Amino acid sequence: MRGEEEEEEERLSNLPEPILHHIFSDLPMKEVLRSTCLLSKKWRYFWATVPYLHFDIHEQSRFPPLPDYNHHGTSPVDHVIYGRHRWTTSSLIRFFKLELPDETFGDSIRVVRLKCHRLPYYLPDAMLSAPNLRTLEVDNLVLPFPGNEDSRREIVISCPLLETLVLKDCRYDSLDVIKLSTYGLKKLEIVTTKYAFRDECTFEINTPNLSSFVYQAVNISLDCDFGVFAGLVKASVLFQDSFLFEKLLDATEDLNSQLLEWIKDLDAMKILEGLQRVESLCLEKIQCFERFPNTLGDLLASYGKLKKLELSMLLGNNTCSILWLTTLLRSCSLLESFVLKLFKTFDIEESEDKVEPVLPLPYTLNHLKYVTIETGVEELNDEFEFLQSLLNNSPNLERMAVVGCAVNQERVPEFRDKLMALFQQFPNVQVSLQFY
Amino acid sequence: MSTKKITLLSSDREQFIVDEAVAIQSQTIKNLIEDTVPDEDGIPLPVVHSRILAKVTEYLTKHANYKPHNDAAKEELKNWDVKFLGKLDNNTLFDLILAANYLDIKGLLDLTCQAVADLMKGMSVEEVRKLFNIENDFTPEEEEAVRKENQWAFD
Repeated sequence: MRGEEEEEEERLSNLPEPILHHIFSDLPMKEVLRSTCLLSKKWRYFWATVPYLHFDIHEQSRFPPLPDYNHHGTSPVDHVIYGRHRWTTSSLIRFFKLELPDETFGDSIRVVRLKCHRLPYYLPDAMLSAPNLRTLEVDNLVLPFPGNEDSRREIVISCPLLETLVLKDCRYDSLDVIKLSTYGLKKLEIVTTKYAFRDECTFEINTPNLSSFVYQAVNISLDCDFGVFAGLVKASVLFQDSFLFEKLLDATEDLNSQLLEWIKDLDAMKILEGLQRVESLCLEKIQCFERFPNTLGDLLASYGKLKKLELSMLLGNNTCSILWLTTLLRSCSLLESFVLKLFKTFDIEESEDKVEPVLPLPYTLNHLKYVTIETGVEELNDEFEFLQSLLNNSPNLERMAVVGCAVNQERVPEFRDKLMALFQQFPNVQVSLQFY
Repeated sequence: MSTKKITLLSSDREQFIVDEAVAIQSQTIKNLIEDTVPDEDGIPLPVVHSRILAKVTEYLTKHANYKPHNDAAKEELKNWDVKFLGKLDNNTLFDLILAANYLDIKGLLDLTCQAVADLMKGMSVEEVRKLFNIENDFTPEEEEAVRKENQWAFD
């Protein structure tokens, strides 16, 4: 039995240090510092021992110079790095750029999450081979680059224990090639959402144990044996849209075959060709397949374990129907969960070469249980037909959610009524309808 | 299919009989099963009290029988976790952290550590001290100095 005196024990303070680190592992460094440094003397420098560095860097000039350290770097990162290592020389601002010191990736560091809200910081060379780093997630930073201007501008990321690497909106300004040689890497995300930086770069991927890959960066090309993706369990791939339209307008004759050739040459397509074990797949902006539903459908049919599929597509004037998606679903007989997101794109010039709507082929999805459709499109008839087709062909469907953000509000009530009438025929399906 | 049962023995020699699939979510128990000859009463876990082992097996049983494949099921499991945590007082929570650490159950360790972090969220320094019985051994001058030294975190 527990005695009364034990109630007074400092349970938190007495936990082993690794557990204390674990407790604070998800918090930004600012939070760790704020919630611990004033607790007691024992806690004063606790933050300096945490092997997880999470920073949101808003600006570099708001913070007053620190009393104890005689230097002119004044950012919070500066503070923590200096505080942790008791540095007394140098500054973050080297050669007129904001560079993080090598100590950010010191021997004790296991996790680094950095996000710059304004000016991007430069990552230090030490990032490339940090000995104990497990997770690196950076948002809006600049990758380090080799000093030698004459050589091929390439870097090798070879942190021996790295398992998760997330590069979001990073700048690859001065790099031609980034080599990934991290044997244990399991999760890789390369994402570019800001098209302002169109600096192109090639990733050479040599990571045999990859199980999850997000590739949403049109400025990044991949140079690898696409066999490395055969082990992926989870994948998310973005197809380019704007380039496709440019190609479309350029093409003078034999448009379809040119387009297909071009699609087949996309890195995104090559990743898909290698997937055999994928269980969860997200494909973004797949409108380019409207003319070639079988090209994508045949690929999906070869995935023997696909249970979760998420699709997103832009609908413009060229793309007139979503019914061709049924050709894809037909290929995914084991599917349990399906999510579709539809967006209306900017109006482009009316093409004379419209695609005929594809009529649904017969299909049955015995395993499909969950469906979510998000639509932001005016043409609601199509969605209705598609939903109807899904309902008719999924005998074990349990839940369906429709989230609409209709451009034309007047049409919503009519669409809603039609849907309600449709759903009444399927009393076993739990339905949720939301319109904005 | 018959499932193999495993008997776990708490520090106060209480027996807990669970499916092997439930037990081996603990890496430590898995290693013990593989590497040692169990004593007659079961696998001894000398640092885990029956009061805590009951909680651990409750968690493991739920998580072994529940393999969520979709968002709705994940949500349900999450809700179960929240309820599970809601029933714990602070002392039990800390005992559970230590048990999860000793038994090497990653999910439970993550869950309980996160719970402690959540408890502190939005609390003042004074409130955190009170919650966890931390004695303030700073003089007011020292406290002011520490605050100043880390001013950016308090802005």
